[in-house]
Amino acid sequence: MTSSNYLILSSIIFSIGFLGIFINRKNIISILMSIELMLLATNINFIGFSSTLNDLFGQIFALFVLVVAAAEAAIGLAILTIFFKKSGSISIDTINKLKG
Amino acid sequence: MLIIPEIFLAICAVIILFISPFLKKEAFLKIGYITLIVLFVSQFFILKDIFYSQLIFDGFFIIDSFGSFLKSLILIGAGLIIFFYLTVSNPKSLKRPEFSILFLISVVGMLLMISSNNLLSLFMSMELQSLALYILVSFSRDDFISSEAGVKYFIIGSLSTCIFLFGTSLIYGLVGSTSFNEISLFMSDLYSTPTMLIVGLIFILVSLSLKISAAPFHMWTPDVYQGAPSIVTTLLSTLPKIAAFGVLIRLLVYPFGEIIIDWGKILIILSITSMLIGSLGALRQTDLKRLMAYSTINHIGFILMALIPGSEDGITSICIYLIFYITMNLGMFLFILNMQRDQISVSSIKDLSGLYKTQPLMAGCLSIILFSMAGIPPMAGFIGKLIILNIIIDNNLFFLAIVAVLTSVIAAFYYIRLIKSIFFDDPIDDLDNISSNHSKYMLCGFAFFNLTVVLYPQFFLNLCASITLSLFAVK
Repeated sequence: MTSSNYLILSSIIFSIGFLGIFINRKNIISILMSIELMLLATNINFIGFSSTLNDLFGQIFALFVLVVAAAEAAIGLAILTIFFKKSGSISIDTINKLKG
Repeated sequence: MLIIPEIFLAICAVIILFISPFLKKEAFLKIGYITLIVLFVSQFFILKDIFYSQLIFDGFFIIDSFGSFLKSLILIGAGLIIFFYLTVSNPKSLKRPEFSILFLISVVGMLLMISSNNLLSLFMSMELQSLALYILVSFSRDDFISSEAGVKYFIIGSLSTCIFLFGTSLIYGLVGSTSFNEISLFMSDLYSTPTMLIVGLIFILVSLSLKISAAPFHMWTPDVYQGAPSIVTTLLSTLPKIAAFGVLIRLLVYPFGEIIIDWGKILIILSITSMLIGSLGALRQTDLKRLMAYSTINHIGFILMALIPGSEDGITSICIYLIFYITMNLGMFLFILNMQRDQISVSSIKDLSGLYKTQPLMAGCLSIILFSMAGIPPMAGFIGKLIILNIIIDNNLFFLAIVAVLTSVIAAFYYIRLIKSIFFDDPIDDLDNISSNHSKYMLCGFAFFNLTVVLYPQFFLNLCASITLSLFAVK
C-alpha cells in the first residue's frame, strides 16, 4: 500500500467525525464519539506514514494521541455528568441558555 | 538544568494536591497562598536564566529569551489572578482548593507550550493546558450556565485538538519528522512548496485560531466568557492568549518562515475578520463579560496584523501590545469581579450607570482603563496601536491599516458608551462599594500604569526589541 491510500482512508474517517459534530442534532454523547473518531483517524495517518517512511516516530506519536484521547474522554464525560445533573437531559436542544 | 521552573511547578502542583485534604479550615485560602509563593519562586528561576539559549531534551524544548520573557509575563499574570482570587469575595462553589491546583497545572501547560520545539511536545503541552481549563470553566457546579459553558468549551477545544493533530500528521508524512529544526531544514531546500505542506499548515493555523479566538473561529468566545465564573474568564482572556501567540510566532517565524507569502494571506483574512467581528459584534451586547469577549476578538485581530510582515519589528510590537493588553484586561476584569449588588455578582452594562456618583475614584480608574482599550492618546493602548500601525504602514499594507483604524473607531464607540453610562446616567440601583482595599489599590495601580506608560515607552521598546533578537538569532 502506498501512503496515499492511508491518507484517503483517514481523510474519509476524519470527515465523517467532523460532519458528525455539525450535522448531529440529537445528543452530546454522539459528539464525543465523533471527536474520538477524528482522533483515531489521525492515528491511522501517523501509523500509515510511519510504515511507509520506515520511521518509528509516527507510532510513538500515535501512542501519545491514544493517551490524550483517553484523558479527554474522561474529562468530557465528567463535564457532561455535571451538565446532566443541572439540565436533566443531554439533548443538544438544552444547550441554549447562553446566546446573544 | 534550564527547564527547572516547569518541573518545579509540576512537582509543586502534585505536592499541593496531596496536602490539600489534610487542611481543615479555609483550605482554599491556604492553598491559594502556597500557590502564590510557588509562582514567585518559579518566576525567580526564569529570570535567573533569561539570557540563556539552548535546546534541551533532544531538541524537544528550546529555551531562549523570547520564551523566557513570555513565560515571566504569564507568571506575573498568573500571580495577579491568584491574588484577585484570594482578595475578592468568591461564590461558595469556587472556594475549593482544587481551583488553585488546576490553575497551576494549566500554567505549567502554558509555559511548556511556549518552549516547545517539536510538534509532539507542543501537542502534549497544549493538551495539559486545555484539559485543566475545561474543568476550570465548568467549575461552579451549582450554576447551570457554567456547566453549559464547560460543555461548549470542551467540544470546541477537542475539535481544535483533532484539527491540530491532522495537520501535524500531514506534515509528518511529508517531512518525516515533527521537529521544528527538521521542518526548517526541509523547507530550506525546496523549489516549490508541496500542497500537502500548505494544507497541514492551514490545519494547524485553524486550530491555533480556535485557541486565540480569532474570527471566523470565535463562535465559542462570548458564550464561554459569559458562562464561566468571572475569575476563570479573567484567566481565559489573558494567559492562554499569550501562550498561543508565543506558539504561533515561534511556529510561523522559524519552521515556516520560508513560506511567508502563503501564511501571510491567511493571517490577513483572519485579522480583518477578527477586527470587523470584534467591533461590530459588541455593539448590541448588554452583558459586560460578553462585551469583553468581543473586545478580546478585536484586540486579537490587531495583534495578528503585526505578525503578517514576519519581521523583527512586528514581533517586538506584538510583545509590547501583549504587555499592555493584559494590564488593560486584568484591570477591567478586576472591576467586573468586584461588581456586586446585595452580595450577588452582577455583570450587566446597566449596572454601571451612575457609578461616578457613588464611587468616584473607581469610576475614574475604570474610565482610564476603558480609554486605554479604545486607544485614546495618552494611554497605553494608544501606544500599542500606534506601534503596530506604524509597522503595517512601513510594509505597505495600506488596506489593512485603513481597516484597523476604521474598526478602532467603531470599537471606541462601545467603550465610550460605557464611560457615558458611568458618568452621565442616573443610578438605577447602587452597586455595593468595593469592600476589599486590595482591589481598590490594584485597580488604581492598573489605571496608573495605563496612564503613565506614555512617559517611558522607550523602556518597553528596548526590552522587547532585545528579547525578539534571540528569536531571530537561531535562524
